Amino acid sequence: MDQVLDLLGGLPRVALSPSHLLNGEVTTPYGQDPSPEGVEAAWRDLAGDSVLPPWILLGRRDTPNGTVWRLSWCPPRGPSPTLAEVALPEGLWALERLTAEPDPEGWNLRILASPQGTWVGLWEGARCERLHGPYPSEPVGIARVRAIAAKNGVVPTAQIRGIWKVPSPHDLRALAGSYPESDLLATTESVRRNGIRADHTAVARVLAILAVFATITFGLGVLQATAWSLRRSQDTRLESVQPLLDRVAALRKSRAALRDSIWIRKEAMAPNSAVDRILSGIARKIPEGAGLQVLALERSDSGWRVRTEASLSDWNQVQPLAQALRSVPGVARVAVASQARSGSGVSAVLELEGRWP
Amino acid sequence: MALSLPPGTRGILRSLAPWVAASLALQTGLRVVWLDQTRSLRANFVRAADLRQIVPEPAALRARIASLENDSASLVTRLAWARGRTIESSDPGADLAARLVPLLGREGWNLQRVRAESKAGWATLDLGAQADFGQILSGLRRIRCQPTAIQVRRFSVRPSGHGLLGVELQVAGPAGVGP
Repeated sequence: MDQVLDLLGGLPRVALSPSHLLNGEVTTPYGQDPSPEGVEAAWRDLAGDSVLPPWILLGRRDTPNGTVWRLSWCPPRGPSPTLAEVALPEGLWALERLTAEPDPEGWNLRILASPQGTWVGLWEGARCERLHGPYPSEPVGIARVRAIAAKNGVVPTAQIRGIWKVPSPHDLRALAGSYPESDLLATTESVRRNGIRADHTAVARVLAILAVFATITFGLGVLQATAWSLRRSQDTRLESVQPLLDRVAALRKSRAALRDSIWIRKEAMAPNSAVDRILSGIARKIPEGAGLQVLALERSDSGWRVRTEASLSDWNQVQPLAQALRSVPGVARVAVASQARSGSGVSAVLELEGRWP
Repeated sequence: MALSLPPGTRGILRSLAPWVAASLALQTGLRVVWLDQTRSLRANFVRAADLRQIVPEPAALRARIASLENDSASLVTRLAWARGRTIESSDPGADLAARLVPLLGREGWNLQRVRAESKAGWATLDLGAQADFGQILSGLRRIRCQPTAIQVRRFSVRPSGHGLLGVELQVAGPAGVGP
């Protein structure tokens, strides 16, 4: 996954490559960094007209003559790794690891066992004086570096063993950025590989975009399938109850038709007019000695209406008669429309309203 | 076969290719593929939700059918009853008169005037008679107890001499078109 992300990010691949270490020095005016020309001149002094190899700076020492830069040239010790755009000498990573160790006082030897062999360096405190290797075995390396140190009058008082760690791509890229002059690849090869890497990055980015497109499309497709499945299940449910729904619709239609037919015949549903009950109810309330002269009944919107003329013996019978008529079943209202003397008695016109009993 | 390109073209292609691909993918996705997918997705979800709410359970439908069948049966019974109370005849007025006139005659009503007609779905019988109070009550009771629906629209009594009462009666019954 990290490799894919590095490819998408267009980051170069950095690998370690086996190399020799040839120590040397370059003196510059005080405070100035060594120039490539100065390093190349120092290499010519050491190796003649051979091609200048990459180099790594080990440390510096200020002297009255200027700043003395200690460096190691790193001629390749075999073919460079094919799957990398930057090839760093393994000694550079060994230097990085040994420099990370705690710094004791005075001269000390620092030893690191790597897959290529054993690296032995001479440090004064935190300052690297020189780094040698890789040696086939640790005793050989220690003996040789002690001999070189003794030749210069130095006796290391401590030995520090570093721990080899396989560098991560991030570590290697940081190292390549810090030591651009130490790339073991030739310039033309480096340009060619970077071009191929850029091609791959472009293709990978296009593929990543297509993958994102496909992923979103697939995700929506899954949701589509889910929605279709939900709809299909509901459609199936609808189909399964469709006969029942049709039956309900037919029954509703039939019921509506029946209701319409009944509504048309609503008059036939009403009970027959019970005029006899009203008439007998009224007749029972007529007091002794009194009588009804005329009685007229007609239908009203809410029931019936009666207008009648009663002959009574005196005035005092009018109101009791009206009150008695109110108790007749179906009578809702009784009113005395008029009353007048008629011969020896009283004639009262009464109006009654009510519902059919 | 090596592809020969003008200097710099390869670098431009490398830089542009991802952007072109992203643009095409975005355009295609937003305007065509994803648009159609989301439309279809939404339509199916909405339809499923609608159906889930609308389509009732079979048990509820069966209960509804049973209820409607009961209602229909009850309505059919009522309709049959209503039809039985309707005068189904080619001349409903005459039919109504044929039912009531003999009946009232048997009750002692001395019929002096009878007029029957059919109008606007109603059979109407208008009559005048003489009878005593008991005969009037009895006749009206017989009218009330008729199996045919009969409404008394107007009714009046007044003294008519000889101890009798003059009766004016108008009755009506709903009429259907008979065979």
